[in-house]
Parts: sequence; C-alpha cells; structure tokens
Amino acid sequence: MSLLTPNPGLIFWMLVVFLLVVFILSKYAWKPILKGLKDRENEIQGALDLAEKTRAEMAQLKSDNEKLIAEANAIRDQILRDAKDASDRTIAESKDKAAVEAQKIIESARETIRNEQAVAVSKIRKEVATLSLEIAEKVLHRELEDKGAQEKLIADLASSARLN
Amino acid sequence: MEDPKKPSDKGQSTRFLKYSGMAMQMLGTILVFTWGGYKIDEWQQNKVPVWTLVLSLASIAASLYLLIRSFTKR
Amino acid sequence: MYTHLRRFFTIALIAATCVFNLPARADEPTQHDAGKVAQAVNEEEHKIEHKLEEHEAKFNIGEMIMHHIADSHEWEFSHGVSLPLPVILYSEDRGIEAFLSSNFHNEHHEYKGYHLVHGESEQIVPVDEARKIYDFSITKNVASMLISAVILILVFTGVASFYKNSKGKAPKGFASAMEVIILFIRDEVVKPNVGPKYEKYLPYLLTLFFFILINNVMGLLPGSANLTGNIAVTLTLAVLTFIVVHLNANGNYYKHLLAPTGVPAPLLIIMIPVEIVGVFMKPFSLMVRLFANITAGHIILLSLFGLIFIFQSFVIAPVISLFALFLNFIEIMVAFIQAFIFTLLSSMYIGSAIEEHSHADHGH
Repeated sequence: MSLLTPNPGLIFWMLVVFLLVVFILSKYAWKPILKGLKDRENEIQGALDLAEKTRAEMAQLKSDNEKLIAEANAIRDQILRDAKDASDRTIAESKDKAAVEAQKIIESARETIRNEQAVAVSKIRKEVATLSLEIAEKVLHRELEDKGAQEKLIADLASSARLN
Repeated sequence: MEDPKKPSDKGQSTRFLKYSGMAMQMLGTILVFTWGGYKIDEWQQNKVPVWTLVLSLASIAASLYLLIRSFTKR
Repeated sequence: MYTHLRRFFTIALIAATCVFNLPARADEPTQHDAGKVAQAVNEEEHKIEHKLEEHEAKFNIGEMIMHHIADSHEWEFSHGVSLPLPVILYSEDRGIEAFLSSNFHNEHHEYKGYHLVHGESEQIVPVDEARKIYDFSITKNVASMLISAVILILVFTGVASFYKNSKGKAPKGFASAMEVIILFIRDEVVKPNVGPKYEKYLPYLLTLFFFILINNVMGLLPGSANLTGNIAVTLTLAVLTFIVVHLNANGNYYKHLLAPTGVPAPLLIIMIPVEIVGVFMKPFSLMVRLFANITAGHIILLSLFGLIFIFQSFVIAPVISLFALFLNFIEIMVAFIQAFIFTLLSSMYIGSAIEEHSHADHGH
C-alpha cells in the first residue's frame, strides 16, 4: 500500500526544511521570545518580591511605630506615675515633716513652759522665802523693840512648842 | 513560576498519556518478533514453525510483563 | 476524551482503508516490473479518463480519496485548475534534471524519457527500466511544507521582534495569543516532562509543536496538501525525536536498556531484545499515531463528501455537509491535540532518557 511507504524524496525535503526551520526559529524566534518571557517573568517576580518586601517593610514600620507609640505611652505613664509618686511622696514627707516639726515645736513649747514654770516656781519660792524672811525680820524687829513683847513672844513660842 | 506544587500537579494529569502509545508499542513488538520468527522458519525450512511460535509467544509474554511492570512502577 | 477520539479514528481508518483499498490493490506496482505495470496502469487510466469524460457519474470514491490524500507532482486546487510544480530528478547517468510537471501533460504522460504514473499514488518512472532515479521533486507536499515553513518563520520572527522592541511591556494581539501557546508548551508540556534541563530541548519541541500544528491546520484547508498525514513526514519527525533522545540519553538509559533491573536472569534473554525493539517502537508509535489520526480524519471527511456523489442526490447533501462541518470542527481539535500529543510524548521520551535517578523507563 503506497500510503504506508515513505517517499525518499519527501523525507529528504522534510529533513532539510524541518531542520532549517528548527535552526532559524531557535536562533531568531525562540531565543528572543523565551528570553523575553523569562525576563518578564523575572521582572514580575521581582516586582512581586519588591511589593512583598515593601509590604513587609510597611508592616515592620507600622509595628515599629506602634511599638514607639506604646513605648512613648509607657514612658509618659511612667513619668506621670513618677511625678505623682514624687508629689505624693513630697506631700507625705512634708506632712510628716510638718507634723514632726509641730510636735517638736509643741514639745519645745512644753519644755519652755515647763522650764518657765519651774523657773517661776523657784522664783516664787525664793521670793516667798525672801518675803517671809523679810516679814519675819520686820516682825522680829518690831517685837523685839520692847522687852515685854519679847518675852511674850518667847512665851507664845514656847507654849506652841509645848502644844506640839 | 517556581511554584513547587505546579510541576507535580501537571505531571500527574499528563502522565497517563504515556500509556496512550502502549498498545501500539505492544503490537509493534509482537509483530516484529513474530515476523522475525517467521523469517527464521522460512530460512531453516522448518516443517513446524517453531521459531514463529516461540518468538511470538515470548514477545507477547515479555510485552505483557513490561506493561504490568510499568503500571506498578509509578 | 482523547483516547475515545483516537479509537474512533483508528476504527474509521481501518474501515476506510478496507473500503478504498480493494479496488486499488488490483494494480499495485512492484519494483520488479514497474515498467510493464506502468504501461498497464497507463492504459487503465486512459480508459478511466475516457469513461469519466463520457460519463461523469462513474465515480470511484476510493480513487478520489486516495488522490486527495496522496502526494502529487502538481497542485490541483479544484478539478482542472492546477499549478505545475518543479520536478527534480537525480540519476547516476544524467545527474540532476529539473523541469515543470506540466510537461507531462501530453498523450502518453511522457517527457524526456520519464513517465508519470498515476497509480495508487503518483510516481515518476523512467521509460528505460534499467535506469534508477531518485525523485527529489517539489511535490505538492513539499511546496506546502515550504509555505508552512515560511509562515512559521515570518510569524515567529514577527513575534520575536515584539519582544525585542517592546521589552517589559505586556504583549498585544497576535503576540499574546502565541505567547499563551508557547507558555502552555513550556510550562505544561516540556517543563514537567523533560525535567530541570528542559531549556536545551525547548526550541526543538516548540518548533515540533508549531510545525505539526500549522501543517495539520493547513491540511484541513480545501485543496491543500495532506502533509502530516504523510508517512514520510511523520517518519522524519519521529526519527528526529529518536535521534535527539539517543544523542542526549545518559548512561542510566543505556544501562537500563542492556541490563534491565529487577528482571530475573533467565528472562533477560528475551527481555533485552524486547527492550531493544521497544526503543524503536516508541518513535514508531509516534509516527503511526500522527499519520493515522490525520489520514483517518481526511478519509472520513472525503468519504462524507464522496457519499454525495455516490448517492447522486441533492437531498442528502445538506445532511452530509452538516456532518462534514461537525467533523471539520473535530478535525481542528484533532489538529491541536495531535500536535500536543506528539510534543508531549517527545518530551516524556526525552525526559525518560535524561532522567538522573535510577529508574529510567517510562511507558514500555
């Protein structure tokens, strides 16, 4: 059956033409086309990578910002808390100090009062003593001016002493 | 493009096509061997076509063996 | 889906072959008495022509189909309108001779001592039987092949110039359509089947795909040549793939061929010849598949049209035209599928031969 017997002439031409087509197309068509496709894929891949990177960077930046904000907030809170603590402490301290001072003042006042009192008491005592001495002197002075009186006194004294 | 999932995925879908030529290959193998056996018988002028029988049966067995092996391999 | 189609076409091919082979076999020329047969055939043909002239109704569908499928030395666009093609002959005594095939248009179909035999297929035989000639004529198939080659080169250098001129831009129009196909072949066919070293084989496989595709499609045009349905063409393509595979196959492949692993030793004596025959069966099946599918499609289409003439009825023509239209769509699909399958199996074939790890056998 001639349909199944290959014709040598056709095989020859087929070989020549097909190999020529393979050669020409590989050199002038497939090379630039495949290179172009690859370049574009690389470009797209590059762009995608870049976008991914940018997004990651953005996310990084965002998280950084958030961290910064959180840090700032924390610091602010810290500062506020510190300030409050400090003021509280100052107030408490001054309160304590004031109380202590007041106590001290009161104490010293009391001391002073006590001292004054003691001084006054001793002064009074001294005065009284002096006064009574003076009185006694004067009385004695006057009594002893006459003899009768003197004897009377001695007698009085003696009687009182006996009564005791 | 370098998605690692892709090649295996596509390979699976087209891999069955390699069996599309199996029948023709089997047939061709069997025919070649039978023809060879026939020619040997003709050359040796055997009364009983021993070579034809042996070679055709052997080639049938061998191509079946290869067929089964290629099915079970992957 | 594909296997169903193929089965269908294969059955159709066998059926159609039986139909048109019976009347044609009667005058099959053999190498031995080509001259006598040629003369007999010539007379026979004269009779047929004579009959045709006086009675057009006498229609031989087998001859018609064969005439359309086979190669020819002139390009007949429709009945009577034909373009003569150059005949190039080589013989040892006369060297290279070239003349137009229209020179055979005489009473005896003879020119310069050569005879154009319209047998089952057209053939040029020397009148002097002792001479041996080699026919390198630009036949219809060769001319069609040259046209397709020119189209391919123009189209793809055009597409390539787009990539050169507008780098980094998205492709437009035709280039983008071609790009889709190129990417499909690269990413779905070649890359997964050939393996990591696919880039080396990509130009060959792409050319293979587009060459088969354009010739399949061109074969569907009315009045065109049936190039991919010619066994010489598919043979050349299959042999080229075979050569590519065996030039690049690694040691693993050859080792596996001569010492198949996992085979019991007594079986080796039959397995090694079977494996070696299998090596040749792979390109053989590539060759037959493309040839049979394309030829079967053409035979079915032509048979359908032939039915119109056989029934001699215009009532049946619309129905058959409808069938033929439907079949034509299927044929366009087959044109793509066959190009795809050929490329795919070639890639698998190459891939199995250059595979690095130990099991280098695919598809026995």
